[in-house]
Amino acid sequence: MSAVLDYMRGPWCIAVYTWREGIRKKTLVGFLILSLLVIFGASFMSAFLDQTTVGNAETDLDLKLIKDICVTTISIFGMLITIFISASVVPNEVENKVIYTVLSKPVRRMQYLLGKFMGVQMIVLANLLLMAGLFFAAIWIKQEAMPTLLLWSVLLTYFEFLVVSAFTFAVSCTSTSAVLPTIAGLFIYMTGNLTEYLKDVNNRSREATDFFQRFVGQAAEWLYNILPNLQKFSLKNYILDLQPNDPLPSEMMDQIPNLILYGLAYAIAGYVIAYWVFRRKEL
Amino acid sequence: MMNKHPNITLGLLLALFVALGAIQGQRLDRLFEADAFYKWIIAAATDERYGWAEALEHADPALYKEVVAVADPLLQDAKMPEGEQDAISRLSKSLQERENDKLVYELAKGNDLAPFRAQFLEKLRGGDLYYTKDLSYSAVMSGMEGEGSVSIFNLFFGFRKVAANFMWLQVDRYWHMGHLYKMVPLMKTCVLLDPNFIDAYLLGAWHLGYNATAAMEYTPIPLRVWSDKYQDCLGEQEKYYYLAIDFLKDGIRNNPRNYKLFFDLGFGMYREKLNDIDNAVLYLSEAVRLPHERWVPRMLYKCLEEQGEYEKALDGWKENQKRFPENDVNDRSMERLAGLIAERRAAQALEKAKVTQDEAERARLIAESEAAEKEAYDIWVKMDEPYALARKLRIDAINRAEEGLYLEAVSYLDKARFEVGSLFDELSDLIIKYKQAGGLPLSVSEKKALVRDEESVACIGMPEAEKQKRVEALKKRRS
Repeated sequence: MSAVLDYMRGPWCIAVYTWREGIRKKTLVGFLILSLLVIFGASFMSAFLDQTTVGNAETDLDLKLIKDICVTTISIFGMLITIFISASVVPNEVENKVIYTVLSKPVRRMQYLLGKFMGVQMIVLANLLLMAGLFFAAIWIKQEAMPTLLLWSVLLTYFEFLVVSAFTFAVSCTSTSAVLPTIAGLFIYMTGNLTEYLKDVNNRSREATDFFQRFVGQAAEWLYNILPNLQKFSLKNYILDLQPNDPLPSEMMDQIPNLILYGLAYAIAGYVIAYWVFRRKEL
Repeated sequence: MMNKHPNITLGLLLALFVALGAIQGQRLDRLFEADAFYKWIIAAATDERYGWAEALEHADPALYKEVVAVADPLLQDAKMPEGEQDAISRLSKSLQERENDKLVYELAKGNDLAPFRAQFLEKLRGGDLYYTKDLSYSAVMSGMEGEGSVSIFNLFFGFRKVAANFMWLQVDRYWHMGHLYKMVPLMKTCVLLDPNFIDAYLLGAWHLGYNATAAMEYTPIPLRVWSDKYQDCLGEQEKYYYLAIDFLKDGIRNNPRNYKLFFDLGFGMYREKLNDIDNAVLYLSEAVRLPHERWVPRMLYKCLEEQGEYEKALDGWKENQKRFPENDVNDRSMERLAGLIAERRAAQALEKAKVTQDEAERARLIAESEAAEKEAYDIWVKMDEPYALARKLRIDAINRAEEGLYLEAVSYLDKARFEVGSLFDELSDLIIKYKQAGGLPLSVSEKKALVRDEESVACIGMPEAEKQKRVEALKKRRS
């Protein structure tokens, strides 16, 4: 146990340093302020909706709007923050040459990378919790009930971020500038959401007689199985359709732990790639 | 190993975690598929309970029948709702109780129904199923032909719900502009993008059933056209009512655990628009089984009263009294129902007395009738409100008519029907009956009412059997 603690001391220091450095980034703060403004603004949508709520019909349209806008805002800005921070922590250190000072200390590359990755996750989590906290408050004020289901939704959102973060981090370890990994991160996010197409390709190729088309279908199936599919995390949106204090239905109780394991498996795979490329990097 | 062959070790580690991810991914796909199958079972069971016939041309009923054959014996431990009809399957009945949801989900996920789950997925991807037409799980949607294919669902990276919201704002804009014709397709797109958009169903049905029909002319029944699909005579307004009903039913298929859809279908459409009290009671009974607002049961009791189920309505109000003792409506409703029950008891005893040959029995029945009538009368006197006054006058009128004093009876009824609007039709029918019995001249409006009644039994294209049924119902009302 003490060996593990000893081993983690270095990464923890690096993580804390990364966190301190990360929260000072102006772009990050900008994203965060923007997202908080949108979430805060979403709670004023009800005033706008007073004109649109028809007749005496009692609806939860305003509440739904707040929920959907907030979840989307958290997804978009949270993802941008995740990509931006995951893409920049290592290349910035290479650019500033700080990395040489750190690696010249008795710190293994694995520990350095682990520290950086932990630092990134701390920043991502802090941002996510801040946004979710405001969202939580907005719903609580509107609904006058503790929206406990939101916590499940936030948890799944984090694991979605974790997957994108790990692969973006892996790309960033190959680069000396943050631009390429940022673009790659966006690409990873888009691809992750479009993995479903591969299943579609495979289904359509089943009826084909042409060898090439069937081969493409087979390849698509393999890729579908291997690549992470971020659409699976869209379960977070359906959780919010339930009543705020409802217990999770049995089907979701089944799906959530499996989704967490799914996210963790790909996050570790991403981290392994990051270490693989980083250990051979000439520094 | 790591120090000697780092690349091999890292390669193996990477392969291990990607394989773990892939296995988890497949496991999740199976779970999403089981979930989709479970939701289809719920939708099909709802259809079975209410006798909806929209899916007859699709593969759903046959597949559901096969599922029921296997599932019913496995549901011996399920809690069953009381007093339900035996014609429907155990699976459908068990899904009326929310606590059975887990049991049914385990069935849908397990090995017993695995062959049907596979069939379901195959049919779903072939676009052969009806109940799942708006199913939103993209993992299941993959490869599905026709509407709702993967391209639409993945286009927004999971932000479809926001797209649906903004589209709804456009629907609302059209509403304020008066462009009603543009709203319907957009509303349908909204619920295609977000099948859980409950308010879109509710407001969409409200627009269709209430606003779109507000400026339409009433179509007299003889000018309406018979619809085999809806088993009703349709004019312009009725077409929109049924469009609204279909929209709400779609909403129920996608969200069978939301009371609002059942409530709006039962009360908003069947009771308020079509005056179909039986269907209103049917859907309101489902609404109260689900988590609901406190006013929902009250509407059910109101409809039960209109249906003539006074005892059930009284039991309901008593239950409501226990839960919300501070509500004055409970006491008034219970008093009113006690009065109505006593009135009915009096009428039934009198009817029996008229047909019995036994003098002693007749005397007993008449005494029973008088006692019940007095009980009702006392209740109406005690209540001292317009409705009670009208009921009191009705009793007086019936007594005068029994004595052959038809003119007096008519004058009592004439006063009573203007006391309470809800009794107007019932009392007007009674006035016509007594005028005819007493040989009194009918007014022009009463003659017209009779003509309307005669004409109301048939519309264009109505099958003969239906016409006969309506003739019988009219005769029964007049007697």
